[in-house]
Amino acid sequence: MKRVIGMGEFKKPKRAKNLHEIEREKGQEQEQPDEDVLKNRPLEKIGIDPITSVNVERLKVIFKDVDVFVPHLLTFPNAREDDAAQVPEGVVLFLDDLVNETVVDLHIIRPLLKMGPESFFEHVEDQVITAKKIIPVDNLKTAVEMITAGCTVVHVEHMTQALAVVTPGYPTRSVSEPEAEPLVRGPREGFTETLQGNTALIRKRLRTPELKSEMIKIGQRSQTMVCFMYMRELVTEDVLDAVRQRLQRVNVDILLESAQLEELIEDSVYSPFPQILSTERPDKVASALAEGRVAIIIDGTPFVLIVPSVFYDFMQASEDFYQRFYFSTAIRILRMMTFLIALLGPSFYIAITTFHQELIPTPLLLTVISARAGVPFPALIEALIMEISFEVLREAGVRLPRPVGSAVSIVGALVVGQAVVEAGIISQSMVIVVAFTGIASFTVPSFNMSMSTRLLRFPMMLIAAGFGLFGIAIALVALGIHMCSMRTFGVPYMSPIAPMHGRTWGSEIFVLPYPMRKWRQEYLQKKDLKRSAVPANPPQQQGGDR
Amino acid sequence: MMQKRWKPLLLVALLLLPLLQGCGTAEGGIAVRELNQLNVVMLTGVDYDPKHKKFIITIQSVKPSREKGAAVKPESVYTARATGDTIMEASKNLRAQTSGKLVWFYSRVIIFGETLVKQHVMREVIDFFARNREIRYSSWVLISKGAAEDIVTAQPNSEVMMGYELVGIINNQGEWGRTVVVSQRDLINNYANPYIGFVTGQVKKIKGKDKKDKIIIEDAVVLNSFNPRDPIYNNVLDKKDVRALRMFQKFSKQEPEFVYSVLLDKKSERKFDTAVQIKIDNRKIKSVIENGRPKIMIDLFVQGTILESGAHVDIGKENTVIELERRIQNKIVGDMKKLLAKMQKEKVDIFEFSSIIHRQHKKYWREHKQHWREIYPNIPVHISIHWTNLRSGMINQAKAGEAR
Repeated sequence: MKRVIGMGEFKKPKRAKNLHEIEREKGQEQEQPDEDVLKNRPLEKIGIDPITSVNVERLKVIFKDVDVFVPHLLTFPNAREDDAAQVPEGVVLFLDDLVNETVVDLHIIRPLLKMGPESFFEHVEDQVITAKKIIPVDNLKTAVEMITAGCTVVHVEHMTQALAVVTPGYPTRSVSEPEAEPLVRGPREGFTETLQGNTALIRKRLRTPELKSEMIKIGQRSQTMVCFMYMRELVTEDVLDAVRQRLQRVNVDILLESAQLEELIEDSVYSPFPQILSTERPDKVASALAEGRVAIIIDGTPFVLIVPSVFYDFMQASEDFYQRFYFSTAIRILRMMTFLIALLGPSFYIAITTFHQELIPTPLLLTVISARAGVPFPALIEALIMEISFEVLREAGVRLPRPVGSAVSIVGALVVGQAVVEAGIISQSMVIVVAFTGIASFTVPSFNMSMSTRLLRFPMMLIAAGFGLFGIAIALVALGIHMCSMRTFGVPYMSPIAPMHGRTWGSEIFVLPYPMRKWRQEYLQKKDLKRSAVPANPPQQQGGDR
Repeated sequence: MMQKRWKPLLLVALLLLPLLQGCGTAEGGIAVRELNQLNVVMLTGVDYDPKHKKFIITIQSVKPSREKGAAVKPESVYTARATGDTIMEASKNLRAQTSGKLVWFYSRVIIFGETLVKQHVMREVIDFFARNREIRYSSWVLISKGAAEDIVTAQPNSEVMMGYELVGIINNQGEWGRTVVVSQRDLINNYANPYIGFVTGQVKKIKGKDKKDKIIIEDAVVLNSFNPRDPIYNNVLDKKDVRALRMFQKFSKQEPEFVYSVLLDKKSERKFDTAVQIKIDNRKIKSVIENGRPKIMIDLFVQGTILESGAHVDIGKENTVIELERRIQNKIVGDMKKLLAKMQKEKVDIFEFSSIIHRQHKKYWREHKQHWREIYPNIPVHISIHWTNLRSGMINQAKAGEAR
């Protein structure tokens, strides 16, 4: 009779050797004090000792000064009566702050204490402990890892394996609406800081065994669990291999946020443009997986990475697909324009007002001149002052606690918007340009893309002040060359524009009505290009209305 | 290794960029001009003083001040005048009187004084305006009756400054068809062609009923460039002549609408009783060589609208319409022929017949172009008018007082 317990594969612990053998083995090792054993041999080489107290002593050394470490020693009253001298002992080990006390109490300690003599040795895991998931542990290193991960490690005398029972009880945030990516229509669930919960949010949207997930541990000290998910049939092998290899190569001390991992695995670290999309929305991840992308979920952060991501992915908001396509397409076009405005607004203003005044229509020129009359600074300095003060205000608004933040914005609007103009230090037209540019930069849906445009604005301004429109043109060409030559996980960064994949434009650049979006991203797919879920011709309604 | 070295260099270059400001010159190259230093020239007048052989340049410029409301106020507009042996010298002498940097980008109107045109110095003047990179080729050229300076310094009728006023009048006149104003570009091109003459608007100062000076653009001045040594200032076309001239040629993007008044009811006591607005839909000008002599055929396709009729006739009737068309037609052709005869007598080809023949009969033109002065006065011109549409307006009236 074999029962499968929990979700993990289970290997039956070896039956304990008879006590003579144990004594003999003990005799060989016993002379060495525990601390020396721990110092001289790597932890993974040290097996689980059949004698509980030895293991407990060793773990006590390892968890020295960790005051939440609880070795809960158990003696079994109903142990075999014939062998009263040898009252078997057991131990339950856990970190007090990481485990759920109720689970440990109800499902581990009580059953163990109640267990009968017959089921003593061989049936601890499948008949005694009633927890959901039990993992066998056969060396000290795994035991330590399990304890630090929130498991409860159980050892009963005479067993050469310990059992790690998954009993996480640390505080977690409940699922809530993502604050960084709000939307009007669409699912309101957002990721939380727990890996399991996040994968569940994705898996409940893609209910197919085709959705694969692989776990990897990153961080020497943090031991962060990183999981990458993909659709077996849709993902390209090259991309998957690249993800797997890059994740395996990562060698860091601690990994706390996905941004760290992003920098470690992206192609061009020095590029000003972000190359890996991060999102808090499970629906966005699910749709990315269905396009053949790979999602990287990191324990401890609600931001999930999506690779490979191209430039246009940063211009998309998930709401684009939840609204009428006319509106979404118009918004996409608007976003492209605001991206350019955010990048070039002040530099165009500087170039035109200092070098190419003949380009301004006469009445506008006269208005701008009258606004600028008496301003003591050249246009570049004026723009730099305004841009820097804008960034200062923005940063202050973000960092300060919310009630104080609004006060900062009021003061900022008064100081920057009005007092500066009335004092004649900055012209009104410059305030308009900077304010509009600032607002335009916030329409870029991805925060890191909008940050990079805001940063690129400054060199653009310097170039415009030095070379005028010629300088801007040359800088744009240079930027274009850089973006077109960049690759991310083997995919050209500017796809589907360069190289051209016209069929993909319907969902990537514009938003066509759903029946017309038949094609998956060509730069991601080689084999399964057509979206099978969409019928080629929507079913025609037969007959008239009744 | 090489790849890595250029990046810091680029960074240093970028950091040095702000220091580059002020590099470059006003003549070619990149020049930094801060907006608040600009003194925007809106109107330029050029005169010639034959006694001292000096050019006089008069400008009206604006330096907007920092005030709420309108950007341009009467206080911010001012005029300056300078003289010099050449126009360039005169324009440089202007800088002694102005605080800002003078820019000519927005000088939409250039006025040439009468003396300038009469004293054979047009060549130098046109060269100056063609060579200077700040002058817009799209700016309008007007010839003033009297000195250009008087026009520039005059009090505008309705606008804040004369420059605005003139541009507004030119735009209206272009639609109404009472004058023709050429742009700087056309002036240069026409001037370079030795076989044609051309016309441009005349601006003059008149005394209104209230004894105040008024500036109007009316009539057109014929400039003849048959031979650069010949007098270029010929004579003035009146309103009627200009109207006929605009039948021959398309001057503006939009064809003007002319009003022709005719007498339809013979019993009427009035001089004219019906007004029709005419617009040219299309025109075809063809030249044919007959017996070694060129002949010009002009086909005009016109549409019209009856705007007013006091005639006691049924306009709905076909015969009446045909009669009306015939009368207007006669009037148009009569006007055109009159202008043609006048110009042929003066030997000024303002209709660009030379270029039509040049285009359509290259061989003939090559052989005969040196005799163009003799050929032109004798060219027969055949004008025919085709009606594409004649609308009767909103009401369909038979006889006055008898609504159907």
